[in-house]
Amino acid sequence: MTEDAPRNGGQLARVFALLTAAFAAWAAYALATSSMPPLAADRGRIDSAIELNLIVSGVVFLGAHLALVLVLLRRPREARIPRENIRVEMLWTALTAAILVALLVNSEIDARALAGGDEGADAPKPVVVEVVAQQFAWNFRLPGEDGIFGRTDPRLVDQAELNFIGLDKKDPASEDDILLPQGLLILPAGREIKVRLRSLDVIHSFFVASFRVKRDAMPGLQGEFTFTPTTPGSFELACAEHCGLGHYRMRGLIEVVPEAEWAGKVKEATQ
Amino acid sequence: MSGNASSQSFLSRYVFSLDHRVIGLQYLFTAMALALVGGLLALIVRIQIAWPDHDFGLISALLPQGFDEGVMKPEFYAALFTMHGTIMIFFVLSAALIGGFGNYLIPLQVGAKDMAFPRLNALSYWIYAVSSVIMLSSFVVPSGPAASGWTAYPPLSALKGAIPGSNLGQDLWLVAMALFIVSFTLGGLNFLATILALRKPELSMMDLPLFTWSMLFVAILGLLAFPSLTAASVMLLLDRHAGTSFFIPMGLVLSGDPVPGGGGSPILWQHLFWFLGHPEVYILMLPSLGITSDLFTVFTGRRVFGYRSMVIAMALISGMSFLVWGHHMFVSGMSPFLGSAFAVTTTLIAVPSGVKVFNWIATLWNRPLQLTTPMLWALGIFSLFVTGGLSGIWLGQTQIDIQLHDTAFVVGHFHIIMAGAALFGVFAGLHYWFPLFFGRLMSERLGAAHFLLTFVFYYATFFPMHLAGLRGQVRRVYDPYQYEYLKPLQSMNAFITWAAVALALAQILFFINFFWSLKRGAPSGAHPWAAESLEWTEPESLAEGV
Ligand SMILES: [Cu+2]
Repeated sequence: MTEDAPRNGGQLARVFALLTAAFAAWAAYALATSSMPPLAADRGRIDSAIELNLIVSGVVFLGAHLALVLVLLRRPREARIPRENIRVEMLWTALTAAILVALLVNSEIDARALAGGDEGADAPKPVVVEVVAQQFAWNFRLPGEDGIFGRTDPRLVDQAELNFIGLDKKDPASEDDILLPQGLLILPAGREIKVRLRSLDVIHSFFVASFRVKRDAMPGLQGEFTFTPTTPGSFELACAEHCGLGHYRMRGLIEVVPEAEWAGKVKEATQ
Repeated sequence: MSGNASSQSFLSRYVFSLDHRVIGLQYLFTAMALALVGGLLALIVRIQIAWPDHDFGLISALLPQGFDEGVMKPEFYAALFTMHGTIMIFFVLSAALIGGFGNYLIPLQVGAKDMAFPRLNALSYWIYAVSSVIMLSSFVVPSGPAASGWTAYPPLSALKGAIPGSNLGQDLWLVAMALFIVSFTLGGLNFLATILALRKPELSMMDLPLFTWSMLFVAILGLLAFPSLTAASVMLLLDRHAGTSFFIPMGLVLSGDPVPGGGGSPILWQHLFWFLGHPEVYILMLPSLGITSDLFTVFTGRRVFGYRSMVIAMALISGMSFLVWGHHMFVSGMSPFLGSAFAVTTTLIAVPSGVKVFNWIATLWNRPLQLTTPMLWALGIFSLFVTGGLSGIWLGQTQIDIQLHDTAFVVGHFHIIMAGAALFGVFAGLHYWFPLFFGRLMSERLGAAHFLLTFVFYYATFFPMHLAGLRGQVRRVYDPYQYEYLKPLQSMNAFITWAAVALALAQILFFINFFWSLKRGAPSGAHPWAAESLEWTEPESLAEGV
């Protein structure tokens, strides 16, 4: 049976090689021309990292598939390659490791920069926003002029009264808190935003594709992260973690407006 | 074989057999049946993603509880992808590669008469069979099967009111998973004992086929990693029924009502789950890597290049697979330092993987290849391993993972590397060992056609998912087009679904080939391939034309 099996260089090999080449070319072309939602925050590092990886992995991908095509098409002569060669094996282990370490270093530099938090003392204070996720809606709160969020208590949650986050109205700090309508967040362009993220029930995930921002809302914990929206416009907030039957419609809207118009727009929305 | 065949009843010979070969085939046939279920679920999921307001007609008549006048209910959609993932990962791929090939081949490849503990071996199959039935039975429960994803993250999986599937369906899921793990660990013990203690004295470890090596590592991974999910399953069952709060924090409010209890942490589950979950990925990969290397040895006519470094690479991949689980949680808010540590381990695990690819190229380079069907599948694994490995490197970098986590990119990635390589490994093994199992050959012509179609449509299905993920398409959504920015992706999703349908249709060729060859395939003789591993060369191990 093995004697009359198809060989490399034969018809079956040519068909397989053609399909492999077609796939590899299509895949490389599709990825190279692929797009992401237009960037609208200060997180272009993520885009650059993806571009860098596209090039590095593109070369490896095409190289490996070219090797496969050549193996299939070439009518072989007797190989002179031995079955072991420690030198060569060490060489390509080192090469792989070097590329990976370089990517890793790049990723660490980016991760530190994206985590932020070490701006100079003269940088303006970030705008703090509390985001409270629940099945299947987003609640947004600004602390108001005092800069302090009023106390909340899960026992005070009253959906009929529209008190979704259980705000304690007896706490003086809560008086000037601004509760935006569910699912709508208004932010000033060009200001750093500090999000305090939590969840009332199950795990949700705060994902704005255009901002390159994603963070799980973990019940019982408060997450904190920052980003700076750069472009005015409206952007969709998606829930990225499966959170129940309404996961697919847990959509929010983030309106980014010029800083000068921000306070007015917020007032307008809360009336 | 001992005993007189005619004096044994059908039941004791084929059903309650203690023979490792029969048990291996039992695993394979059970997994094959479950693959049909898992595949059908995937197709329904794909149709829903492409055309969310689709009227399912016939399918909705079959599963009435999941539909509302032909239109799928969102909770049913969640149950479908949950059950698809669970069934395929554990009950199909793990069971076929490890339960099926492992049981049949380990004793033969190490020159043992049977497994070290034949009774335990039969027991592990039967526990697996029972756990499969429990898992499937949740489809007839009124509140439907578990719907919290194959990862079953609490509180969604802990609170009965969080989603309909978090009722009886979730309990059945947890019990079935715990039993599956019991079965898997019993099997692992048996594998270890057999490879280490029953190996023919003159056979050194460094002469073993790489498939046997992969089984050794798989057994160790299973023994060390799987119990953490058994423990987690018991804890979650206690949270659900005994009033504990391992995974439920204080002060939750579900649909306006306070949740009693509290003090636990949902992230604890993620650590326990992924401590099993990531080694499980390698449990699915390693057998395919072993099979690929062994087939390259057979069909190039020379031993695989760098056998020794292949073993070392497998050992490193196995060892490191215990240290990478946190990369599933980069955006969970974990400490950035912890994130960095997991990024380092995740990226470095690609080094031994890269070594394997280079060694394979050196094995194939400038050699006359015999492009038999099993060899075609092995070459397909080579391609998938490269493609899926590279996208894995993307996801291992924390800054890129921020954007791509929980998107279709991840779905494309793991279907290519884990599911794809494992599935191709099953096909490679089935074609290669079919003569050993049944004394006949499968049709090479049909085999080649099935391979080429599967290769094309597998990539056509899963590669575009990377593009959808880059454009921000989140996973596990019942209707992506609720989002304005995802509306333009409908045509891409429709393309993927058509490719998935074609992929499914191509599998008909396999089933025709398999069952036709079982009855009518050309007799293979004792030595159909020029293979030198013991399962072919020891006369004792040859099939007796079952
Ligand atoms: Cu959500």
